[in-house]
Amino acid sequence: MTFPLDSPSALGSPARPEALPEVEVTAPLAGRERGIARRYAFLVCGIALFLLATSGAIEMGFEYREARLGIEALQSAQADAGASQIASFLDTIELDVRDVAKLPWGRAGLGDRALRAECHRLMQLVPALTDVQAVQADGRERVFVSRREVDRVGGGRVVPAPDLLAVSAARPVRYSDTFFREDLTPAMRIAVWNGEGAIVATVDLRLLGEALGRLRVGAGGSAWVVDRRGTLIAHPRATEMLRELDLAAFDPVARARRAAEAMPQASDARMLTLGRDPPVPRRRGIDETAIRSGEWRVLPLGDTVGLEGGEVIATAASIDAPGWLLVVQQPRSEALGPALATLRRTLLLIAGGGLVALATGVWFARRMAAPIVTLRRAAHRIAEGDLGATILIDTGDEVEALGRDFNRMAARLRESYSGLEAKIAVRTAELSEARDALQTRAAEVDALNEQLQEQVQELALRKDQAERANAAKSRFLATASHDLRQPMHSISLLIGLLRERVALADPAGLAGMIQSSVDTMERLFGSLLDISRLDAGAVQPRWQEVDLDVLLERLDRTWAPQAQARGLRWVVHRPAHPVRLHTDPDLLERILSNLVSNALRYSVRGGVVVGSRPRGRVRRLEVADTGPGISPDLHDAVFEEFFRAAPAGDAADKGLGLGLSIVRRSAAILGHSVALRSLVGRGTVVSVDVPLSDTPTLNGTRDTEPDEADAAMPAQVSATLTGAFVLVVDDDDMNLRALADVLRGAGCLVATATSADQAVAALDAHLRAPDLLICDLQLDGGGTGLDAISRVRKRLDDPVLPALLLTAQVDLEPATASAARDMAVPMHIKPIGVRRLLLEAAKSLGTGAAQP
Amino acid sequence: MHRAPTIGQKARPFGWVLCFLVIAALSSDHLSEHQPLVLFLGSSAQGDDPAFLSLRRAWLRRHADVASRVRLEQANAVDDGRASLQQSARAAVARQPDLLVAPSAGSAQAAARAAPGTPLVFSTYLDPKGLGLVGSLGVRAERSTGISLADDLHGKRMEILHDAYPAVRNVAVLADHEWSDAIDGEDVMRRATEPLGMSFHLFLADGRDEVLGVLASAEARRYDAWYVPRSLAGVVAWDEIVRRMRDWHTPCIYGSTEEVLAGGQMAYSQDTAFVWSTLADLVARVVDGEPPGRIPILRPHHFVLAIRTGDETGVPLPDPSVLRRADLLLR
Repeated sequence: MTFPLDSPSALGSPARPEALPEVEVTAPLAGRERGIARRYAFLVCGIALFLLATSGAIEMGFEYREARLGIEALQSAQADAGASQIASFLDTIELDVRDVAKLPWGRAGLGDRALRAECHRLMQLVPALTDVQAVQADGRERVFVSRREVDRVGGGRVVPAPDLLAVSAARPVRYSDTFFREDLTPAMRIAVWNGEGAIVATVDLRLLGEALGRLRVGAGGSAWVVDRRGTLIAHPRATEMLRELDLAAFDPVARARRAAEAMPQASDARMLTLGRDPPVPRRRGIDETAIRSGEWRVLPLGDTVGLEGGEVIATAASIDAPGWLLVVQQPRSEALGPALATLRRTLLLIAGGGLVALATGVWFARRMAAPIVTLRRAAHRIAEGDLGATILIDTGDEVEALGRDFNRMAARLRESYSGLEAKIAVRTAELSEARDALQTRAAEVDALNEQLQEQVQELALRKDQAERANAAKSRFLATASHDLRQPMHSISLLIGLLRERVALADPAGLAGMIQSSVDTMERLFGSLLDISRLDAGAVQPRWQEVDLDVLLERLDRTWAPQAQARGLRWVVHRPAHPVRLHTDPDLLERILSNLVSNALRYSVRGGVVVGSRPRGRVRRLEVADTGPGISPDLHDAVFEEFFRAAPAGDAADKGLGLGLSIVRRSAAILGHSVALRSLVGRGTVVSVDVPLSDTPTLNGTRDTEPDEADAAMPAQVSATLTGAFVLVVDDDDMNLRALADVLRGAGCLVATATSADQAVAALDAHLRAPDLLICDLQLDGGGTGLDAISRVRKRLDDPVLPALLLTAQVDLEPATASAARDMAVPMHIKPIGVRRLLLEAAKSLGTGAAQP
Repeated sequence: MHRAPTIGQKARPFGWVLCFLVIAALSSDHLSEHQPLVLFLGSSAQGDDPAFLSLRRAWLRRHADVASRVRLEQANAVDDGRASLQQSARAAVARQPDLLVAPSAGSAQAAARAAPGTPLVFSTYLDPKGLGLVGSLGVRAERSTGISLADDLHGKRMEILHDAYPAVRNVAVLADHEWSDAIDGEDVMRRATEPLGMSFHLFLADGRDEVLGVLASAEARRYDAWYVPRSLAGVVAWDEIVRRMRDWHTPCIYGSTEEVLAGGQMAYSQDTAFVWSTLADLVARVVDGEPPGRIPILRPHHFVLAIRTGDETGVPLPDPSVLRRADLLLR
């Protein structure tokens, strides 16, 4: 049976013809799909094999059990027959002896000769007898007949086994124990009461072996007999009987003996009086043979050890009269041979049945799975995109209906797929356009983002620059304000003093001091103006070709006198050949002048050297001094506005702190690079690289500012101040002298100091304690006016000593203001006029210090 | 397209042949096992020895399975004297037999002397202990076993002779020297005859000529009866003895039933019919690996009184009481 895949044309499918190949799925093809077929095969074969194996195992188990039962039954019958045969053997002998013993021997006609003849007849009848004796009651032999020895008649010989003669009318028969003769042959005696004595017959037990030899126990089986002591007395093989083997502890004998001991009814008396015992049931059912009413005749022993040492199946049978035991044994392999053969045949049948079941199961499973596999393969083709796959199943059952449904489903799927493809194409094109537009927008957004990022970065940079410039400007204004207030303060004081002393004889000296303050203000305002112009971009370079030699000559003329005045060596290295620089001569000269001014200011000894050296396309101009040097961490700070290092010589000539700022700004306008090299304790070299080319020129202007004056002093104030001792502390000598003069003019006694140390020292130099302290806030060496006031008060032990604090700082730190209030020290911002100063001084003297 | 055979394809036939040879070698007992040799020390030339033929018949009948893997052969020996027996035994031992079978006392002694280490199965009419073949009739150390046909029935035979012919007083005994030496014939016969009131004369003859000489002597005819025990003297001239007894009308009792079957008057002996089958059994057991020393010496347990009652005996019938005791009557 085949399961073809129909061509779509046959079904009238609208699918593409090239996508609908004709494919037939036959059973062998479906066989390559082994999943479900294998499962079916495993299931069918497993069930069949399980049933076969189970039934086979059960059958084999029953067969084995039946075989064992059969063997036991057979052996029981054999043992029973053997035991019966032996018992019959002994019974026959006993009866024959009884037949001899019954005659009245000794009467007339029954003398010794007749008795001898009768004994010969007895032995003729019983071949097993070797000797027959007629014994008198006193134990003396009357007649002896033998097969080996010469007969004796009337000899009177004493019988060697008198116990045998303990027979009587009540106990007419007695069996002796078995014994072995000189030639090792086993024998026993039977004594029968004859009325006045006994007839004793000696039995050669080797004939029992012959009887047992006729008992067929299979090909390799045998039967053997042990006596009541367990000695082997009969065996089919004559040599075994001659060994006098003691088998009392041998497994089958011991087991049988234990069974006998467990049966007390098996009395010895019956064993010894077999002839008088009730007849033993000779033929009984196998089921009854084992144990019945405490008496057993046949006992199946099952698996045990054979006399030859191998594994045997044995059965024991008791021979009651002599107390013997017959054991029938058969090799286990032989006994179970038929059963094992049956088992082997059963196994072969199971194996054969299993193979048939396997083949049938595989065939059946593949046949069952074929249509399903066909469906699965067709579904797989559809899943892979081949919608033309259809199938034809002609099983005539539900599977065939399933195939038809599948084909209808495939056709519907093809139709849906066709419409879906068109829709997908349209949607795909729309999505492609949208995607392109999105990509374009995304590119534009990216560009805008980049621009915005750049602008943000530039804005942040400019903001940072603006913040830095604003901070610098604030710092500049604060510093400039402070520095401007100092000379203004001096001028204010001096002008007030000048009004009071206009009639005095030394107006020229006073005017000189005022002139000095004004000069300082002029220089300061000049520098500030230069910086302002430079920062505002009002200074435009005037590029010219400048002769370096002329420039250096002018510097030499300008600064040589000052160097000589300071006692410094002054050297200017002028070029040997003409050097033309492309720069603004005025700005360059300003740069060099600032550098030389600083060099002279900070050099105490040694000298200042000005020179130049070629550096490629530029000329490096250098100004070197032998000043204290600048530590590396200050190399950038020295170019900041109002940065002033400690001057080397006179403290009054410490500069404005604007020179290097002007140098940096001017060099920046000219595009000249400025470099500073310095070693602390050795000196400093500042260099300017000037290009060797033409440059334009630059011009500039300077401005000045107006003064101010104080009002007239009241008389009450003058009275308060007159005679007051005032200690003035200020690190600015000009201010210090102006304050002292103003206070002296008001009638005060004045002591001066430039620092807190000097103030404390001044206390020791005067006998009188000061009535008022007037201190500048900022003192040299890092000290403050508050420190000085505190130390003086502490020195005088007068915490409320009146004091005034003057400062030029307009942006006081909150901590400083708070400390002044705590110390009850009024603080006044410079410049303060003479009138106000005196009013405040008088006020402090009149009111004392406020309590904190 | 033709493709050259690979090495595996070329070697495949050789592989099958090799497998066949290996299987054949493993399944062949002849290639892997030694075939034991059992040598029978006969008393006549090969092929004619009735004893060997009897043994071989019993051997093949009772132990055909063992016979297929054991070579039972007769050694070329002629029992015509001790020296020749010894020589024959040495020649047989030179063939390195696995087992020797000696059917007589002489051959057994010769075999025991020539090959004390070779297992021996024997049958002898003399006591094997007396011959030195075994130290005991039970389990023992010697590597020999067998059948002892030695009997002590001389007195019994004299008793039967006396019961059969109560008038007999003088009995002539004919045997060979070996018999007499082995059992001390004079003493044995004296103890056998004196209780019965009889006298005897012992004639010892070795070989047929000596037996004929004894029978031809005038003295031979003076005895009331003759007794011929089992010895070489009775075997080599049994026909002449039977003829003379018939001619003389003199009763005679023999030591074996064979003489009665051959024409003699009567005999009382052990039944030796079991000898050849038992010898075959013993050979099979030893060949199968059972130590000979573990096998006790077998003795006959049947006794046969055979009497010929026909006129050809030339003597009157024995007493009826004896006839009634007879196991075998030949008319």
